[in-house]
Amino acid sequence: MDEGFRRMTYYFMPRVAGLESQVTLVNRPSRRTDGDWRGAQTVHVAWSDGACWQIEPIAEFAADADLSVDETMLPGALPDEVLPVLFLSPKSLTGTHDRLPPITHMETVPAWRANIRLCSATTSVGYQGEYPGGMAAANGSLLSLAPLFQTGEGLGNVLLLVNIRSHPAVSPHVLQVHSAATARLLLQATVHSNRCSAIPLDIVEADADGLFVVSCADLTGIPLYLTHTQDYAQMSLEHSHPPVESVVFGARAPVSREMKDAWFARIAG
Amino acid sequence: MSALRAALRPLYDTPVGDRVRAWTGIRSLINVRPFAPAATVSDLFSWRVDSVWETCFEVVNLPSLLYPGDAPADRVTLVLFADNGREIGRHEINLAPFERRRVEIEPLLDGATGAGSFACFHTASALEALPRFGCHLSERGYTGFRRRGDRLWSFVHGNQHVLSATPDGALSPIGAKARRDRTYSPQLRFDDAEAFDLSFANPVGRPVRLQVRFLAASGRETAQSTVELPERATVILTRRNGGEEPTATIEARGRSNLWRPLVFKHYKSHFDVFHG
Repeated sequence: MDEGFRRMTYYFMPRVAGLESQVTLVNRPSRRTDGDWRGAQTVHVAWSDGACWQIEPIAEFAADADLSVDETMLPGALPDEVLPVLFLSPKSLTGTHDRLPPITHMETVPAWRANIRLCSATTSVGYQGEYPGGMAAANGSLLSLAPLFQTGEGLGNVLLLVNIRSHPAVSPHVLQVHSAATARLLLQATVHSNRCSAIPLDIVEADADGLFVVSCADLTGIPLYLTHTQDYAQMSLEHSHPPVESVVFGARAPVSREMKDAWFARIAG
Repeated sequence: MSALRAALRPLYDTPVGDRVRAWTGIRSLINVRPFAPAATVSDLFSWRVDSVWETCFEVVNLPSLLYPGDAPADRVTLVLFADNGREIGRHEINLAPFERRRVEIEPLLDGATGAGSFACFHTASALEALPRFGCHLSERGYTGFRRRGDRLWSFVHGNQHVLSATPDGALSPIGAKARRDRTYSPQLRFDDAEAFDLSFANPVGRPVRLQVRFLAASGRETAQSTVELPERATVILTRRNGGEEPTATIEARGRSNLWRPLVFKHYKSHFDVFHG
C-alpha cells in the first residue's frame, strides 16, 4: 500500500434525499504534539465521474482556523448521486486526476477529524469522523454488527454506506443484511464504490430485537446508521465500529480477520 | 535499528513496559495493557438521569460476535459509578448467543440521579483463545440519550478504553496518567448552538486536575473551569452562548493523554450528542 494513502485522511458529505449535509473542518490537530502540521491549507472537494477524480479548491484557511462546508459551496451542477470528498492540502490542486492525491502531513493520534452533519429543517445530527486513507487504498470487505436500529410508530431507519476508493471507478456491489441469530437473509441491495448509498432498513423491522449482520464481500466503507422520525424533527446518527475494535492490544489483525472469515462463512450457509 | 528493536521487544512490549513508558513519558501511551491475560476491557460510558435526561445502553453478546462458530453465551457485568467515582452497584445480565438487549440505566442506579459513568464487561469461555494473540475483548458500545418525551434515542459509541476487569470482577485502570499536562481540543465548533455540555470522565487510574478553557472565535479566553476529578469521576460543564463572544472552541488540559469529552449541543428545537 502506498504509504501516503495509509496516512491520508479524507472527509465526506453524505447526501441523503431531503437532508442537507455539512462538514466542519478545523485546521489544527486535536492534541498539541510536536511535529504535527501547523500551517495554512486549502480545502478541496473531489468527486468521481466514474473515470476520473475531479478536484477543485473550495477555500483557503489559516492555521487554527475552521470552515463549515455545505452544499452551497460545492461546484454547481454536481449530480445528486455524487459523493463530495473533502481533503486538505498545503498546495492548491485542481483538474482531473486518475487517483485521489496522497498527502502525508496529517497523521495524528487520535485521527484528524471533522464534524460531519446531516440537517433537516428543524434538526441536525452529527459525529466526529473521517475516512482513513488506508481504507481508500485497499480493497476490502464490509462487516458491520451494530444494534443501531430503533423501532416505534413513525420511526425510520436508513443505512448509509460511504465508500471512497483512490481509483475513481463507480462500480456496483451487493450488500446483504442477515439475522445474526439465524443467518437468514433479510435484505439485499446494490451499493456503489465512491458513493454514499442509502438503504432503507425498515424491511427488516420484523427482526428488530435481534442483531443484524451487514456485509459486503468486495467493498468496504463506513456504515452510518440514521434513525429519524417521519418529519425528521428527531434524528440519531452513529457509525458502527469495525470488527478490529472488538479487541484491543496485541495482534488485533488476525483476530478480526478470523472473525470476518467466520461471519462470511456463516452467512454463506 | 529494527533488529535491535526486535531484540528488545520482549522487554518493552509488555504490560510492565507500558507502565514504564507512561511513568517516564518516553513514547507515552494513551492506554496500558492489563496485567491479567483473561481480563476484558471497557470504555467508561457516561450516563445522565434526571428530570430531563434518560440513558440506555445496548448490551450485546460480544463474545458470540467475535466467535460466531462457537456461539457462546455471555455473562455481562455492568458496573455503575456516581459522579464522584464511587461504585453504585453491579448488575449481571446473561445473554444467549447473538442476543442484544437495550438496558435503561435509571433502574440500575439505586436512586442516584444526575450524571456518572458505567463500564461493561463480558465473561465467556470462548475468550480463552484471545491471550495467545495478546488481545483483550473490548466493549466500545452504544449509549443512547434522550430527553423525557423524545421519540427516539440519540446513540453515541464509546470513545476511550478506561477499565479492565478480570473474570472474577476485579477492576483495574488502563488509562495512562501523563507525565505532564496534555491539551486536547475537539475539532469542531460550539458557537452554532445555544448552549452545550461537556461530559468528562476521568480516564486515568488516579485523581487528576482538569482545566477547561472556553475560547471565542478571536482566540480570547472567555471563561475557565478547573475541577479535581477522583478516579472514575464524571463532571458535566455547561456553557451558554448568549453573550457577545460565544464559545467557538474549548481546550481541556490535565495529566491524561486524551481528554476527549462527550459533547451535548443544545439548539432551539433539538439536541445533538457525539464524542468530541
